[in-house]
Amino acid sequence: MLPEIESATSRNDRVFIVKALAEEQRIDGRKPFDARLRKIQIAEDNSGVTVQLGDTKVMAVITADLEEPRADGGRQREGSIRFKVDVGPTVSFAADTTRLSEDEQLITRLLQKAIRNTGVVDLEALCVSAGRKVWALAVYVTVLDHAGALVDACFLATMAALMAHRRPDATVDASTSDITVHSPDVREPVPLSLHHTPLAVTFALFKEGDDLVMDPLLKEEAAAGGQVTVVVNTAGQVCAVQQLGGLGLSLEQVMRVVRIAAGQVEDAAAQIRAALDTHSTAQLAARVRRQQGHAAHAAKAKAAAFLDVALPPLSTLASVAFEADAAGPSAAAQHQEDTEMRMAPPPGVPAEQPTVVNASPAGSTQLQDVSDSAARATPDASFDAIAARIAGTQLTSAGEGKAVKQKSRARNRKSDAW
Amino acid sequence: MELLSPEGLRQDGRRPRELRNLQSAVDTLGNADGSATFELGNTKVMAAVFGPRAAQGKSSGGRRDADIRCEFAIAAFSQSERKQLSKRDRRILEVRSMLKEALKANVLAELMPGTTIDVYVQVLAADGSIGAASLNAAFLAVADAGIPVKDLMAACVVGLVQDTPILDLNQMEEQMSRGPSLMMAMHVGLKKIVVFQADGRMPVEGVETLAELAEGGCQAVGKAMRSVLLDNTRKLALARGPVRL
Amino acid sequence: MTARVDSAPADSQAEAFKRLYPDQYYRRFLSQNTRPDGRSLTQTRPASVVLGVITSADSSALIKIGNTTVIAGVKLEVLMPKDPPDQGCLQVNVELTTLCSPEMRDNRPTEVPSFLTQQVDAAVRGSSAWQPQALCIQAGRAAWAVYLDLYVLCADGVLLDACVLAAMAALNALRLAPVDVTDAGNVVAAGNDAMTDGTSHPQQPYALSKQGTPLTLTCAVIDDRLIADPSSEEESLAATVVSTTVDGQGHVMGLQHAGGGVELSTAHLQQCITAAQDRHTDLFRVLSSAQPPDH
Repeated sequence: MLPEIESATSRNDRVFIVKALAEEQRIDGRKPFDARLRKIQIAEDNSGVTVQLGDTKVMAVITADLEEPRADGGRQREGSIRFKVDVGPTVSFAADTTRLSEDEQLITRLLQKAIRNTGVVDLEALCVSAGRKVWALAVYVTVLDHAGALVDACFLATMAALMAHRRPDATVDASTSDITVHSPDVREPVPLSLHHTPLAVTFALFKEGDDLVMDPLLKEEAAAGGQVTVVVNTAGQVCAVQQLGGLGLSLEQVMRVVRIAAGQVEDAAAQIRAALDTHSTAQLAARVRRQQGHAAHAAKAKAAAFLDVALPPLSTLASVAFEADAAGPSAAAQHQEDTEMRMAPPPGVPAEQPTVVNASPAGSTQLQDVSDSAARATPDASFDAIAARIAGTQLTSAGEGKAVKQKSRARNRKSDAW
Repeated sequence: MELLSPEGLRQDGRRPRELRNLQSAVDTLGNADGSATFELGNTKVMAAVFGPRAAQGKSSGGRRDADIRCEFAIAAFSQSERKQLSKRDRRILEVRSMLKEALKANVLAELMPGTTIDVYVQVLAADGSIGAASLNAAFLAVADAGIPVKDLMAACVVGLVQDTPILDLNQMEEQMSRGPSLMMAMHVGLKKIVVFQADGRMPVEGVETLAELAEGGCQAVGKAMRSVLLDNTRKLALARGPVRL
Repeated sequence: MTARVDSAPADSQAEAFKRLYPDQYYRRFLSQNTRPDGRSLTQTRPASVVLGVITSADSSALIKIGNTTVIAGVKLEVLMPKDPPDQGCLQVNVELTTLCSPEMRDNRPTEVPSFLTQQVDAAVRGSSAWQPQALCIQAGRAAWAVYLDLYVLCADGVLLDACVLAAMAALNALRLAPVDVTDAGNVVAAGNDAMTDGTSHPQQPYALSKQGTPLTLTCAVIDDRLIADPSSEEESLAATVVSTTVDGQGHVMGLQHAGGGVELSTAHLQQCITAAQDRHTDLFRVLSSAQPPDH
């Protein structure tokens, strides 16, 4: 996309890239349809996401503000979403500011067309009070490093950010029509309602359009005759196709690109979902730790009494649950008083027992932290419900080491108990 | 309001695969090296080309090919509501980039190193398909300026309305249709696509249906443009003296 | 002339001379009382006016004077009048498009468009054709706002003449549909007029008066000679230009002369005024017979 790259990439480079492709080899060792390694990191407060596609690094941040809806009649009940892409001059070794701002506009337009216009975000769900206040979302995409396939990385970051975003819950008082926006400590922030997941796949074209490579590097983009970007969702529907200039393609060649792209987004989408799952696990751990601190002081005395009776091994959630149940109403009251999450009260816990067991790695992680506190009975009961919501975790490279260790320790303890 | 009547007619009485009335002319402005007007129904676009001329701008000199620059503007009275769009408006920048990339793919720039070719497009009346009309006007102006090109390039817009593919959308159809649309420009002789911009959710087969109709549309538009260029060449040849064509 | 140039064919020889010594080239014609395009010093270029070229505009006109091409479009809006409450308003905007000349790029200095805007605005408001009270729909509540946008598509001299002609053509062709404003503030087509004989018929669209149409003629001063309707090359060689606006009823409505280090005598100015009056007759005839295009 950057013409100055052409001068920064030598002729030898370009000739080599084309020749290597004839043998289906790429300069970084990939096969033509291999994507680079993706890394997705979600910020702790759900405000943004940083993704890496090989060396290309993009950050997306979403803000939500209460605004008046658009004036025209049909839009009174709809929120809005807008995009802003920022490609700074530091992103590449051959940056030209005018060209970069053109890229910014093109990517912003593509995000608008493929995400806003195809109705990814349910705008009616963003309505708080029809005609008065709606949520207006703004997605800020900042490119930190450009190493090829910028559009792909921007879409990945945007979709991950949309899926991770939690906006404050707002309620309207029926009688007074006052709008209250609840802080995250009072009411859990609400995720966005998303209808489908479009992601972008960019191809660089060589040899009159017969040779394609997916997720091109900057040098491949410079050596290529042209590029095509296809935005497709996980259901296989095409949301946008963009080919601007470059090599002329026959209709068959264009359709071939579109068909290949249709099968390529599932991996990326699965990775986003995995990252989200790990993130929510970590979130819950952090939240419970915080609440642990609050709850410990008040609950210590009462909980200690229960624990003397139960004395369960730490990893046996099931038995703890039964004990909490056996402890009767006071345990339930304790539970409600100490935790602000309105989790299932003890009677409901036994029913969730089977899923608790399956999710033990996650539960065990939290137990590690809790073991020191005397008030573990009540948090355990709430853990059952939390853990029940987590279905299977995969770990990202970041937290992998620590979690594995905890997992194995917990597993050992568990086997002792049973 | 239905965009397609039960008999299969559109709001303006056209059949789904019917182009609007196409009028074009070249050599319409005296100052420019090449100029053209392109009208599709009520959409009216004017283009002017200055060049190839000595390199302008600091990035142009020393290049191994011609530097193609584009500007695009929309007149305030061109739409149903008066609107003055700034040069920084996103839609303007998008069309400008598209024009530049398409012309770069079309003009044999390597034959004119160290020169600048400026292509300016002004929309006078906007009734849908302005991107395609602008590109057609720009191509005609480039041809009128005598600049060597790879092939005749024509563009058109197609959309899907009530499961029917329609050709050459007017403003109302563009705004009211919630279905997918495709803007395509191709080299009509070589049958190679140089611009392909599809939006809207559709299955892969939907892309193919739209693309096939767009190919036909581009061929039809290309035919009309070719006859205008040939007529102009005849006129110029006769003006130079008695000549047999 | 060097030997190299002498051996070239005659027309490229002339072309080279023109490029190298433009003012000497021009003076050779002037000494013969003629100009490079064959016109005499007082001869103006023919003008053409075509109306209704832009369907999205409420009225439009495409003007050509020689190569100079200007397009004017009028858009109407109903607005609440501010002060005074029973008058409509006018907003004029002239832009030089990038198409109009090889030197135009978006970041060019902008004093020419604002000068033209000001002049056209003054010409329209000063004419007896412009009656803002006629634009009032309901005093204090609704009045027509007239937005007049002019775009110069090709600049080959006398931009002011072309802009004023285009503006007047577009305004003359303007028809204001009779409307009423409902209590709710919606604009609806006006009801029928009740006639004295008891019948009623629909109101006719209102047109601005054609009397007193101001039109301009620009003259360049080169070597103390007055050149009527100069091309852009001639304007660039001129020491100064004088633009005279007359209304065809014997009144001079404007005279623009911007210094240039040349002193003009009253005789010169009188010549300009007479030439402008002659030009007015020609242009007004063209204006009156202007037709919409055949399709």
